[in-house]
Amino acid sequence: MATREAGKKMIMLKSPDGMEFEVEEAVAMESQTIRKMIEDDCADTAILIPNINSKILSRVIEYCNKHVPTTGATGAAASDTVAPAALAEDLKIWDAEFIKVNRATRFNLIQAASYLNIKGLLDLTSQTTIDTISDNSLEEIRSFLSTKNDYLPEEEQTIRRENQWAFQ
Amino acid sequence: MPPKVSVAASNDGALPEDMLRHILVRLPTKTVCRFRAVCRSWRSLLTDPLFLAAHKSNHPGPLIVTCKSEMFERGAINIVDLSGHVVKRIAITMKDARMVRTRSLDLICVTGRKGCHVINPATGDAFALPSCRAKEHAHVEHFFPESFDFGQVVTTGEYKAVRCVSIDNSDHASSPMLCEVITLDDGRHARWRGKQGPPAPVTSNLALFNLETEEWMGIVQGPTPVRSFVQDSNGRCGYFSLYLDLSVVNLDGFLVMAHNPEGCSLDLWFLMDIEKCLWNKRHSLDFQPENLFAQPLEILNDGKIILSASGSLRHYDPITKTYIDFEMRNSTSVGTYTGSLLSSESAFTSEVSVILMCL
Repeated sequence: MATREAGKKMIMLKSPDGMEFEVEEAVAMESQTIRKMIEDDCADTAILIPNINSKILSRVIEYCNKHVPTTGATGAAASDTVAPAALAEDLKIWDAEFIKVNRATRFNLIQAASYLNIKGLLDLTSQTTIDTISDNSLEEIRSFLSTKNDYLPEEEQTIRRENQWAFQ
Repeated sequence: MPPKVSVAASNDGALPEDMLRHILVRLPTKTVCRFRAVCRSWRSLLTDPLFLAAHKSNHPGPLIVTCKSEMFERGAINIVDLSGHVVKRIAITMKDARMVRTRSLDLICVTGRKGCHVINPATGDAFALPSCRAKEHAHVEHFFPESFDFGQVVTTGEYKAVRCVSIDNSDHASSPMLCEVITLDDGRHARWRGKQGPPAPVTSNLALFNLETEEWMGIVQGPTPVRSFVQDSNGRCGYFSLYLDLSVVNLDGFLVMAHNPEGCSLDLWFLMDIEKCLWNKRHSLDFQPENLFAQPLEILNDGKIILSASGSLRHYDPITKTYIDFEMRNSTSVGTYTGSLLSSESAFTSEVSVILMCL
């Protein structure tokens, strides 16, 4: 609790490509994975984040910075004057801008959010993907995921018949 | 476990299977069904019981079922989510169809002038209940099925339908009635069986029927204010013809009588003790013109009450006494659906196997 109230304790995050990011502990603890490491005292010096390159990690930190509850020295004033609904609306707009990335980056963000266990980011990236693919044709989905149609023609007919209502 | 989804691992357009699962559980139900045709590995992922369970918890129900049918036209059943969006539409072949009262079941039952159909919303399959009478009643001269109800036995999961039959076409009010029961085990071979008639040989009564033992449990007196309302209507209407002002539904595992006379509050009476006929007015919703003909459908885990009103689906918060309204197309009858549209296997069992027949 003492470190949280100080609000200034810094954590070093390292990506596998050798970049180091110094972030406030509260920001890093947006990730449940990192929170657990810190709470278990496994994070004395720097935390190595495997599998997440510096480009993606910096975006993840950007997200956490924006979404950390505003209880710090600068945040206190903001949360007092801005209504929560307006704040949420502001975050929504920010999220929509943030997620305007190419597919590869989005998939990398999904994997990072999943590994670091950041629910908000996982929801955002997954839902954006769902919104993109929901209305796509089967052909579009196959090319989107570089998957091949491995059904025999009659098999595909059967599947379509079984799920007929979904094609209407 | 289904085989690993073969999205290429080398390029950056790829996602490992567990990540794919994370994403696909968010798909709308209809899209899940459509995407089963993408490729084999997607089909095994999208039909996997673990996936279906995760999908269900991402799309917490219940769903609303509405039935719209005109006198001379074939109708449709719409499965609608809690925001009024149509998730699935099922055409029905019956004209002038009406859905049997709301009951939180996996199957939907509609009655029309030409009999009764049971519909499985997951598959869209419908089968007609036989109309021919039980052999015990073969000798009866006049045979007029009057009231009909449908429910599930808690212990076995079996579905049964009950009908009360009037045998006198001159004066229904005083003549005794027959009762028949049918078990919908596989639908196609089901037959009506003759049972002891209902305890009250008069109309304007409510009687409890136990679907498990197939026995009548006696007459139920409504809560006092409702009873005097029925009496004051001076024969204008019994419980049965009061359906616009009065509805009997299943909420929270209780039989609930919703009393909604014009210009008054909408009262929800919970039957706390069947034997003692103990009713408790748990909710009383202040009068609102929008609640004319409203009917309670469900109580959500957070305590909100879902009402169907004309043209809208209303979420009522009993603590703040406020409503959130969603547009929903007008329909002749509305109920709830607790099953999964993604799997034909039912994992749901009803909480009450006693039904309340309006005679």
